[in-house]
Amino acid sequence: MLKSLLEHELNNLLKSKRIYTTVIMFLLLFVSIFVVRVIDYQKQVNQYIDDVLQNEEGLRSAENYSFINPRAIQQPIVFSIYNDGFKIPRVLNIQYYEPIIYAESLNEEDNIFFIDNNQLDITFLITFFLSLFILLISYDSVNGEKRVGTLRILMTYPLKRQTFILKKMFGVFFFVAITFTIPYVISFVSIIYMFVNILSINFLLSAFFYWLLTMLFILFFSLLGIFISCCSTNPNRSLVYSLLVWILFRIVLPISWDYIIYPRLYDEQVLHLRTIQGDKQYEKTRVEFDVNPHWSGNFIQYSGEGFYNSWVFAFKETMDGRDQLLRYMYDEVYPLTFEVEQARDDVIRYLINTENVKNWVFFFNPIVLFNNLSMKITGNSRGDYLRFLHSARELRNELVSLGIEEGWLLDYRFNAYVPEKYNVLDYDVLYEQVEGDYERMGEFVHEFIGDDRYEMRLPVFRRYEQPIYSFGEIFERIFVYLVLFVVSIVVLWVMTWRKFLKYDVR
Amino acid sequence: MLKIVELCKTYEDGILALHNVCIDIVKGQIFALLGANGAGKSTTINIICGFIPASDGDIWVDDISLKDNPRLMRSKIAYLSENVMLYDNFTGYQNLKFFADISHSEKRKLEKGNISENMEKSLSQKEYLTQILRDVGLQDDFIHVNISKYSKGMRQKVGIAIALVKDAPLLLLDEPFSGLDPKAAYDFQKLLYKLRNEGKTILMSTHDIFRAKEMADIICIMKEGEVVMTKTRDELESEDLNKIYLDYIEGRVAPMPLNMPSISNFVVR
Repeated sequence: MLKSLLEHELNNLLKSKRIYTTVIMFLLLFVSIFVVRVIDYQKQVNQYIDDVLQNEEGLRSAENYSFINPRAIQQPIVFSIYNDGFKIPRVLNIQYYEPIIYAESLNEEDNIFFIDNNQLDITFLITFFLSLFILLISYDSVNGEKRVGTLRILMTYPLKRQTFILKKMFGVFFFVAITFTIPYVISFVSIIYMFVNILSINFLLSAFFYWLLTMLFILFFSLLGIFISCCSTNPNRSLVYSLLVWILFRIVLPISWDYIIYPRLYDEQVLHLRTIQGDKQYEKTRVEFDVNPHWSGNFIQYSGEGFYNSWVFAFKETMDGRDQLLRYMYDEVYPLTFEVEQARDDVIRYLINTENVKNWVFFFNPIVLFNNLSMKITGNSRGDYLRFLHSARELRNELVSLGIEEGWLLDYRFNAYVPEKYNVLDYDVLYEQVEGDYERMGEFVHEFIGDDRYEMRLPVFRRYEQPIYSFGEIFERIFVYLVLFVVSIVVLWVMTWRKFLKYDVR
Repeated sequence: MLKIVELCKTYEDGILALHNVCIDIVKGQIFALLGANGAGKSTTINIICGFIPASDGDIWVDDISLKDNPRLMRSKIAYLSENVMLYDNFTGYQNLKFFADISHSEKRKLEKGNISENMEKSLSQKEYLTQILRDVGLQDDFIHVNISKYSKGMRQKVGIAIALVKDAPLLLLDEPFSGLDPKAAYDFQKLLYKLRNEGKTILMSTHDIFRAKEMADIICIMKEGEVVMTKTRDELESEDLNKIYLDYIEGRVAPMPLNMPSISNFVVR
C-alpha cells in the first residue's frame, strides 16, 4: 500500500515543473560550491606539501638548529569542503618555553577563494538553501491535493490518515534525499579520485555520519512543510507561512542568540576569562623581558607584521650566564607558559560550553543542531581546535623531555650557538652586524649556528595526518544531540498526524 | 445496502446541517437526493465518505457500521464528485492504475486476501485497466494522454472507471450531471444504468429534477437538513415532480412522516 502511494508521490513530484526547477537550482549550487571548495582545498594541500617539505628539511638539519619549527602539524581537513566549521589554524610555531604564540595558514594569503569566516560550504548549502527548497516542495503537499480534489477521492479509500501523511512525508523525503545523495556520493568519489591518501575508515565514517545527519535534517523539514500544509487550506497562505518559518529558523533565531541571548548570558564571563588570559600573557612577557643580560647575552624578540617570535642565544664566553638564564627560564618563564595556556584553554572550554547550551536552547531548530553537529562530525569544531592545541603542546613537551633525557638541556639544546670567530658579545654588537634588521638577525643566527657535538635525534612528526576518530568517538560526540534531533522529529510527526486527523478534507 | 439512521450534523459554529436524516437504499437501486443549495445533500455524502464526522446517528453499508469500522465501510463505497479532479500530471491510465493499486492492496489487507481479482485471472493488469477504460466509453486515443487535456465528460468516465476498479457496491455521486453537455450526459446516464443492472447501488445528489425522475428508483427531497419526502418511481409516475419539489421547498406542503425501522432490525450480528 505505502509502496504504491510512495511510488505515485515520487512520480508526481518528478512531473512537477516547479520541483524540477528547484532541483536543478540545488544541483547547480551544489556543484558550484563544491568546485570552489575543492579549489580552495587543493591550494591548502599544495601549501601543506610545501610546508612539510620545508619542515622535513629543517628536521634533517636540526642538529644545527637551536629551535624546531613544526610548521605543518596537521593535514588540511578534507571535510572543510563540506563543513568549514571553526577554522583550525594549520601552521603553528611552537618553541621551547613558549606557548603556541602565533598561528596562521600561509594559504590564506594567496588563495582568492579563502575568505575569513567563509561560510560558503556544503553545510551552508544544506542549512540555507536545502531547508528552503524542501519547504518550497512540501508547503502545498496536503492543501494542494485538497485544492485539486484528489484528496477527497483518496479519503474515500480505506487508508488511514497517518498512512497518507507517511506517503507525503516519505515522498518528499525520498525525493530530496535522492537529490542530495547523488551529488554527495559523486562528490566523494571525485575527492577520492582527486586527492590521494584521503580514503580511510575515518573519512568514510565522517562521510556516513554527515550523510545520516543530512537525512534527519531532510526528514524534519519534509515533516515541517507537511505540517504547515495542514495548517491552512490555502496553498498561497501556507507558502507565506513556510517562508516565515524558514526566516525564523534560519535567520531570526540564530541572530537572536548572537545578539540578544549570548551577550546577556555569557559576555561578562568570556570577558573575565579573556582578561585572566591577557594578564597571564602580560605577566609572562614581563618576566621574559626581565632577563638579566649579564647572565647570558641577549634575549631578543622581534615582531614583524602579525608575526611574533623569540630567540634566545648565548655565547661560549658567558657559559655561566647562559646556565643561569636556562634556570631562570625553567623556574620563572616555563610555569607562566603553562598558566597562559591554561587560561587560554579556559576561554575555549567556556566557549564550547556556550555552544552546547545553544544546542539545548534551540533543540527544536534543526539548523542550529545541524551546524553544530556537522562540525563535531567533520572535526572542525572548537573542541577539535582545543584538541589540536593540546596535540601541538604534547609535541613541544616531547621535544623538551627528549632534550632533558639526552642531557642537552644544560648545553645548547634549544639555544642558538654563535661561533667564537664572530665574537658577538652582546645584543648591541649583534644588532650592528645585521645592520638593525631584525629579520636578518634571525637569518644570522641560523647561518652561524653549528656544532657537531649537539647532534640529536628528533621525534617523528607523527601528526602529519588528519585527526583520527573511531566510530564510537564520533557517535559519542554527537549522540546526545542526535537523540534531540530524533525526538524533535518524533514530536513534529505526532503534531502533524494529530493536525491531519482533524483536517477538513472536503 | 445503505442505511442512514437519525443522522445529525451540527457544525462547530452551531449551524445545524442535518437533523435526523434517515435513508434506506436497497441493493441495485438508483437513489436521487434533491434539494436546494444548503439542504444537506452534500453534507450527507461527505459524512458517508468520512470527510466529516457525524454529530449523531450512524450509517451502515452492507451491514458495516461507520462508527464501528469506518475503514472497512469506506472500502464499500466509491465517490465521484461534481468535478472529477485527478492528477493532472498523469494519464487517464496512470490515474486509474494508481487508484487500482491502493484499492487492491487495501482490500487485500482488510479482507485478508479473500477478494476476487479479475486482473489476475486471465488478463494482465494493463489489459484489465485498459478494458475498463474502454468499457466506460473512453476512446483509445485518450487512454495514454495527460488528464489535463481531458474534457469534463472524459474525466467523469475515468472517475467511474476508478469507482469500478475499486469494486465498491455503493457509488456516491455528487452532482454528476452538472456541466456535462447533452451527449456526455446521455452517455453517462447509460453508464449508470449499466452499473445498476450489474448490481451496483447508486446514491446521487442532483439539482436536475427531470433526470432524477427519469433515472432514479427512489427520489428523496431534502430541505434545511431534513428529509421532507421520499417516494418511489412508481409513486411519482403520474405526478409532476417539479411541482412537488417546489411545494416542499417553498413550504406549501408539510414534510412526510418517516417510517424507518429501528437499528436492530438490520444489524447483522
